[in-house]
Amino acid sequence: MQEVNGWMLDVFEDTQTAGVVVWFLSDSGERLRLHHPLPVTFYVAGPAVRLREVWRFLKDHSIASRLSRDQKRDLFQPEMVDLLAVEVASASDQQRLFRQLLQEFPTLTYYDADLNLAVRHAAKYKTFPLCRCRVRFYESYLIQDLAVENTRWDLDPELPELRVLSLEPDCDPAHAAPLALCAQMNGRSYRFSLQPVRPLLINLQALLKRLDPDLILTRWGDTWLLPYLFDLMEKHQFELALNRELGRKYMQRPERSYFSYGQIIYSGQQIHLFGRWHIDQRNATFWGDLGLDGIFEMARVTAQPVQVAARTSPGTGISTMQVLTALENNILVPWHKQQGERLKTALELIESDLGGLVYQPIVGLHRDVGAIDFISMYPAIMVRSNISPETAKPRLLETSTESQGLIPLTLAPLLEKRVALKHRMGLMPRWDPRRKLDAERSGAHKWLLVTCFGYLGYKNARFGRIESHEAVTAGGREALLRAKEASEDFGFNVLHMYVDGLWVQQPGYTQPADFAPLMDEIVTRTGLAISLDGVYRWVAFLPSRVNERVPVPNRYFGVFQDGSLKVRGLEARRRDSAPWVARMQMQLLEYLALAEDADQLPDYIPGALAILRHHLADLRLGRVPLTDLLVALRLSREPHEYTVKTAGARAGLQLQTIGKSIRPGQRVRLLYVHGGDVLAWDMPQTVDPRRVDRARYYELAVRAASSVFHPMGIPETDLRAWLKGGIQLAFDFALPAGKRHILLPPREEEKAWSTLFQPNKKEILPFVLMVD
Amino acid sequence: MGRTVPSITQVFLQEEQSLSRFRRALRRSDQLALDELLSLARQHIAAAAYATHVLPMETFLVAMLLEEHKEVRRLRDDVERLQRRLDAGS
Amino acid sequence: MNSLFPSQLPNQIILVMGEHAASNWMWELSAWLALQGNLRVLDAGNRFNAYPVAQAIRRQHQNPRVVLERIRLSRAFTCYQVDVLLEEWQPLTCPTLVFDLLSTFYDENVNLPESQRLLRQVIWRLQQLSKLAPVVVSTRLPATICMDRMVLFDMLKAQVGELRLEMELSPDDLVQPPKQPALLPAFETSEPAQLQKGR
Repeated sequence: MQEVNGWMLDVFEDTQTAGVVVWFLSDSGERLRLHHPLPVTFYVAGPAVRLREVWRFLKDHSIASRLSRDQKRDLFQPEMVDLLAVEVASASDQQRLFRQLLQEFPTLTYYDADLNLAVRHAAKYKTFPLCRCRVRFYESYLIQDLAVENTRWDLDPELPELRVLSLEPDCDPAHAAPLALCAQMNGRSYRFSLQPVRPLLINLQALLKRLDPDLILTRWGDTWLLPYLFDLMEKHQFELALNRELGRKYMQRPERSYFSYGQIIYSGQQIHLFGRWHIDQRNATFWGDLGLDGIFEMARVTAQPVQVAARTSPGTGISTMQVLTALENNILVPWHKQQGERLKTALELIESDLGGLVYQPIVGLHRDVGAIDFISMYPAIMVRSNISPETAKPRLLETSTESQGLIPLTLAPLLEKRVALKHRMGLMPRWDPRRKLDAERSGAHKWLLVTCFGYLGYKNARFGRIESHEAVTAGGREALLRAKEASEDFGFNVLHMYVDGLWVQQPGYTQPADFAPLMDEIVTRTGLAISLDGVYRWVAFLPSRVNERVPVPNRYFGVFQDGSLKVRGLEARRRDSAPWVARMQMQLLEYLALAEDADQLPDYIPGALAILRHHLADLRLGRVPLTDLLVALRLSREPHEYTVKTAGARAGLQLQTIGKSIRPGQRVRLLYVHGGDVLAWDMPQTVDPRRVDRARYYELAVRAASSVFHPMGIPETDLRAWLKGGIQLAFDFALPAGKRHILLPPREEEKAWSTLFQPNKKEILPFVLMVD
Repeated sequence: MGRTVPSITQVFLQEEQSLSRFRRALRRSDQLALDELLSLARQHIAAAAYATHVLPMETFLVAMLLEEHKEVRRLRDDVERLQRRLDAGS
Repeated sequence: MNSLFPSQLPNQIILVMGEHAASNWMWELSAWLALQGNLRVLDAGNRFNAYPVAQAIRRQHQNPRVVLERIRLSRAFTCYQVDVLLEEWQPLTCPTLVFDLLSTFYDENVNLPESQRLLRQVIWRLQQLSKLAPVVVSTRLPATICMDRMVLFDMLKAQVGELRLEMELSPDDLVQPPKQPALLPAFETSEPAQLQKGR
């Protein structure tokens, strides 16, 4: 018998013996493959007569099971439920048995029937990916004893040194055929030519055997690289040791397009390995936000295997957490959500079927504005008012006397961790190396918390309930209104409000300390935690792109007192903007952010205008690389399904003619070319730069720039006229009030631009204003 | 998960639409004035949402009235100010 | 308004089809029935927009706030929920309206045999309810991409009662100017609405 300390890496079904495989990383650096028995139990409920039939059915069944009677709690029933408990040694047997029971006895109620192994193991042993534990096992690697020594909620968990192998093709396979494979580990790089094939496989195999990585981190691994390698393996009868598990094939999940928060999201096919992890940077959810540390944190907190956590939506993560909490507290997990809504009157429907309060801001430029946010407002309300399917409807923002419901029980530790990390990050100096780690982990928490509310009302959520969902939004509206009232009572102007945040201002109030009494008052009146996002030196709220008279809640930009920028809804933040346009706009903003306070802002306008003209000159002179002009439009359906052929649809159709598949939710990269046409980027031919419709990109840039200059007081028409003809630009700066003159004589550049806009040139065609 | 009752913004757009025939028959200058009135009402859309009135149009009308009244007060203040200057001058 | 609906609905399952599962007509019907008494609504397709109902009530010069309280509804988002809700509803003498019944049964996430099993049960429950009061069910045909679900529609169609109305109504049809002075409580149109009887 051996006893070892270390970390659990992964747990999945053992196909050779009933139970699970546990991959373990010991303190001494050994990677151990252990076996752990894990019998799986599910429950059947129904009339006693039927249950006796089930008993007989199971006794005679070829799949062996242990049967017993039990009583447990169903969240949606007032009384305990009488159950037939069915225990099966192997998970796949349990699944088969369950499906057969469903066929034979479709009208009965099933619980704990389709749960994955990782969550079962977590419920029984308190394990989770990368948990620190002590394990005792026999010579046969059968685990005798496993004890976990830390929890999912530790702020700074002890983590092992993982061996990470990076693997990627030498170019984007969607754009061109790759020629080589680039590998990297421990600071050393390797390059393998894709042809000839046998040496490639032999070299790669040698590398894998020598390095024995825990994680293979790829780009395009799910969608191209690994399928390509598996294909080669089959063609050349070569068993590449991508898996650590011998004799196991990889696990594949197909690609899919799904609907989430009003958008179609596309997720590429997935390749999961056994004994090692495979993560594809290009197919991992929120890779930019989370990074590897964020993914590990997601896996730890949700107890989902790392490869799953990397790719699934936060909704699935929340669901797993709820299931885990249910199992830990002896609450039955329904197979599918059945309960409908309790009867409500049509009047009650109007009064409750409502979302968060979204105000229209006071459009324009404002100075010394405090941005106050509730920290994770909806989850905080769920926890404070004990909102859960089984608890009583709360009075607005009041605490409850009932024992904690399943949902708050699940969320409370997550919320606590988020608040603790946020608080810690607030105190950390900017240069602290731990900041990035905390930020990425925080990202995981943020996404889970943001989703948990929506999940409460989701039709397929096992523990969802629409009344709870409505109670949460009611609490949110109440909290925001109380915050507004407190602000106004304290003499502040409320410039803008949006679901869980508000922007307030009072002449003479410029420092965070000035807002402290108000913050305390809001906490007193609502009982919820809030934070001061910062005090803006200045902030501009923008009107709608389509109608200037209409404010929109989500387009603004501003500079905090520490000089950091916050930008929302502008081209610089939109994923479909051309990088050149986004970069130009960001540079404008970054330059304006140099102004120490709002009074100095007008002095920075000439410089910002010069930046704009510089970028436009680059465009005119052909100095902008084509890749920087790529617009990446997302398609909400198949290209041929569009009745009006948008730019994205046309590009999608082009790609389809060369055999590329375009699924809803995927983005298509394209260039605008002369004649009002578009050219899909990932076509085999190289593009002649002279085809680029520079007038169109000029338009995009000017519109993006105008979003910045308009709130400053420069009307768009004046800006355009000045750019084209070098007129003397005079405008009223938005604050403080006053006329500023900017004198710039006409230059050669302006004259050159004017040639582009002659009406008799055939190339310049009117184009359709882009719709959001 | 979709809502069942349309959002206040959707309702506002529907009410705007239902005015389209009326708007069409107006003189152009009157059309612009109507558009302004509608924009003004839109400023209070969050309050209209919170109100959960069974007939939201009535809330929009009150919002228009509200804005008109604010304008009246502004103008009244301006007139009084000009009046005082006039009196002081004479 | 009376012209849109027969003066007395029979105690049967009445199937209605139309644009958007005949939503406009069903909203008018909800208002009309609520003006006369209580009713229950099962919204099986996220279709119950309360505003047109309120407006229809107002057009009859009644207080929408009061009348809307007579409508009690539940929303179901999966066919399992439809089944469970109907199981819980006791047969009452007030009418039952079901909006877009088949919507959740057309859902590809539930396999067809299971959908059929549940629908059979649901139809039986509706038949029980229809013994005491009218049950009006609106529905639509499956989308072209899931034509295999047509069997569900056929099953429903085969089981409903004698009277089946199929109407296409636009919102303009709902507001008719009174032909006679307002002494008479109800107004009539010059042409009766189209009625198509049949199975």
